[in-house]
Amino acid sequence: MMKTIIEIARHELITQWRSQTLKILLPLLLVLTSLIAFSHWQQQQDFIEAQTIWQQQNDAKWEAQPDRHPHRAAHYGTMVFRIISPLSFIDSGVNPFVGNALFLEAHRQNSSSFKQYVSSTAYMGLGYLSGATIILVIWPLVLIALAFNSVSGERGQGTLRQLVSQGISVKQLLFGKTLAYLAISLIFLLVIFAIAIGFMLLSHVHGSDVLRMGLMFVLYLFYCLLWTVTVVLFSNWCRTNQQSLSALLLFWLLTVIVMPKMANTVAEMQYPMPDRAVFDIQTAQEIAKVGDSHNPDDPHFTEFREKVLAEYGVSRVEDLPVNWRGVVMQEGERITSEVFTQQYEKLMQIAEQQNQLVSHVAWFSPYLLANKLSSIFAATNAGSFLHYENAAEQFRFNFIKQLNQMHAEQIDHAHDREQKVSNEHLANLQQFDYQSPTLQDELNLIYLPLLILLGWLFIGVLLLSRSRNEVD
Amino acid sequence: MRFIQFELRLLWQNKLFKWLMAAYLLAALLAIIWGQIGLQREYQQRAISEANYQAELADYKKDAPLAPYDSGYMSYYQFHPVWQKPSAWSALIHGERSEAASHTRVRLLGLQSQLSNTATGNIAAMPIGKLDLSFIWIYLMPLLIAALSLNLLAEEKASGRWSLLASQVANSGLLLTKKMLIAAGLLAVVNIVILLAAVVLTDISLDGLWWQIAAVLLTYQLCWFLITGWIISLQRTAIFNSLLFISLWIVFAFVLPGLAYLYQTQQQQPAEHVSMLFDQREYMHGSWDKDKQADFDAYLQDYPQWQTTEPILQQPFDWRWYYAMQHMSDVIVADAVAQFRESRVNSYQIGNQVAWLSPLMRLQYSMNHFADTDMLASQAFLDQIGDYHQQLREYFFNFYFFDKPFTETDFANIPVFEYQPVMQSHTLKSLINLVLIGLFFVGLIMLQTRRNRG
Repeated sequence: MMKTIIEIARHELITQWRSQTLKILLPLLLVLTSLIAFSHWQQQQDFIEAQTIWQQQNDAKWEAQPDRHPHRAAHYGTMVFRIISPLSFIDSGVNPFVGNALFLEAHRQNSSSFKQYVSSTAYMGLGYLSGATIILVIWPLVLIALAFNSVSGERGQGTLRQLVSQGISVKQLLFGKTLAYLAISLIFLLVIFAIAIGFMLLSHVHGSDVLRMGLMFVLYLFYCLLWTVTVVLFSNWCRTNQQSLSALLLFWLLTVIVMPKMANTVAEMQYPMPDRAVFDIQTAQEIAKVGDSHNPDDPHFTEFREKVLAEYGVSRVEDLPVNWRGVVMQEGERITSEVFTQQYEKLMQIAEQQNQLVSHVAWFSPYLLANKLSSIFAATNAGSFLHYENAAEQFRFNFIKQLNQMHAEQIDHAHDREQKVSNEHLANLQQFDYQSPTLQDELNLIYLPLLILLGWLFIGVLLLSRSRNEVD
Repeated sequence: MRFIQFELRLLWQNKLFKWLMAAYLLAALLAIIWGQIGLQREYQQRAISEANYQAELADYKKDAPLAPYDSGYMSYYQFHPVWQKPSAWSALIHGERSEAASHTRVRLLGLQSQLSNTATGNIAAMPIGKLDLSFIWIYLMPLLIAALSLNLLAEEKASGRWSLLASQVANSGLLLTKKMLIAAGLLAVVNIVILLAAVVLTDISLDGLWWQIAAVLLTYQLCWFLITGWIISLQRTAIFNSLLFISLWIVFAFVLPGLAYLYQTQQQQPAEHVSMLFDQREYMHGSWDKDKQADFDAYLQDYPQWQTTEPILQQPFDWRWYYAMQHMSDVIVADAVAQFRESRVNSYQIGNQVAWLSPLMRLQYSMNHFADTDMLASQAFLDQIGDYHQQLREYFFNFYFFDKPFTETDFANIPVFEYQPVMQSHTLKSLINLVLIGLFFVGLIMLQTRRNRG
């Protein structure tokens, strides 16, 4: 049984090896993919270097700043620069679409829209030109072009009848063909990953990056297998080559292009998000509801004052051992940060609802599932970006909190504005030390799409093994 | 005439043809409705920000007239909404609109750091993108054309009808052309119906722009029919035709735009514009540690319109100095801003040049420009915010520098932002581009026909 399958696969590979289509398509795609990978790798290294230099410059400027009033320093603020994953050159994920510099200051949570490049991505309607897109979007088309007639052709020419009369079952034939096209996919992926490993060796690699890259390889191979099974099955089901080709192209168009886009559009209709202006307004309104530190009669701050006075056992803010303005500043900061985080979480919940809707559609689109997994493995998914933003906001809050503490403890209430703290105190504040999430942290994101993909493969293999010996 | 009737009846009996046309029409109508809902949402968001703006101003108005110190405070807190008002067509052609915030708020502080606000949005959805009518037209219509006509000849041949037909008419090529023209005509009718539906379902009106868009769209359609015609003229198998067509489509829709993007980004340094933020912040905060009076004197020197103001700053704090320094923080990064602008426009131009090679890219650039949703529009929006900020500055400085109280009537005169769309016709260029590509394939067809005969 196994021997026959391998023999069929070998035969199919020899046939393909002689065919025009493979001779043209495989080298063409390999060259294109390598070119893109090289160019992205180079740009990625430049970007990582640029971001690192910006960060150093920012930190140096912070340390070199003159003696300042702590609140002035809090407004001077600091910047953090997101260092993209070293696997971005294979799957760029959300990186080209987001800003990578965050400016952190008192009262405000700013993300800057400065993207890696100013060029628009809107003209790449079929997907961002990257290695992952070529593997996930274009390679299935190549598989279709190579294999759509692999069974329907044999049937049309009558060679299938011959094979069956020789004692080979259609089942064996289908598995053999699947194996052959999997082997071709394997060659394609091996060449690409060999080149990619070369690039990786030229930069600093961590053990976890090697693991991630390995997982990407396995995922892509698995995805290719799924497509191979699909193509062979369609080729077996369809009466003619032309039917098989048309059906496969339509299937590709629907599951890879139309369904994902449509799902996103519907999700956005269903769960609309406030735009930037309205989000800012809503946040400001929520903050005002809690308390306005600039209003002397504000109930929240009046109550807060009574509480602080009671705590220190004094009756006037002037008698406090700490600077009242610094204390108020910190209370204001606490409210702003809490409300902002709440509001931002609401926004992210809307995004999550949208993603949920899309993930229901993804049950029927292996592309969406593989795409999601690929960006998780490459650490370029939306989650990794949000994780960074979140960590930066926490860092910002603590950073400003320390400055407010200086304000409360080292600046006298009288003539507050004219005083400064020494630059040394400012320079001693800790800088942002970001730890990106590990694969283990993201396991809960991985297993469902993986299970669905496995489910599809199971169904595919089941259908292959259930194929009857129909020869015409 | 009888021929047309006969062919139409044939097509009507063709199930695939009917289903494809119906699916196309349905998808287009859905896209129009979704697009219109999205557009209405943008208007609703704007209404929210306007109501909030008016309420905030009314709050200040209660205390009018405001002394300059208080109205200085007001300007510190008061945001003014700015909105890149979407064109009616943006419902169908989303373009680059979600790449930057099109509705945000600015206040009298240094402008550049306010402009770097990101748009809200679902990051996870960005790499996949949206489905709007322009996507259906630009990317999917060519595939529909292929499905309708690519295998006219091959199928007739396979069914054995072709030899019969060809023997009856003198010029079989002409017969085929006629058959294709009928398919093309029908698709054109469907496209016109879609365009008319857009007039009914959205705010689009049947004006000059409508006709221009219709003309470009139909030329694009013709262009793809010619490409299909060339492939048919090669007289190869149906399989070969399909594979060649899909390869061409991939080159036009994926490879060329992708390589254009790669080339565009190769022309830039990554994140080069961050220095703008650095410099502005450094200046803004550095000014607190410098000799305020000297800086203010220098400002008055540079801006003679404010020279007649009281030259000595109030202690410990003077709004005039504060806003002057905020303004200066924009002035010192003006070169960097101009450079940023130039790289954006430059990058757009590169893409626009590459578009000469791909009918698909050309139509997309063209559509986005028609709908005022391209980079030029987004840059015009930024430029206009700059102008608006200057109007605000001049308006409010008048009160701060000349020590005037801000009265109730002055609230009504606060400048209002009104986005002006980019009015620059490029219809002719798009038509020429598409016709040239079409002619190229006509040339190939003629060459091939000669070869087929010889």
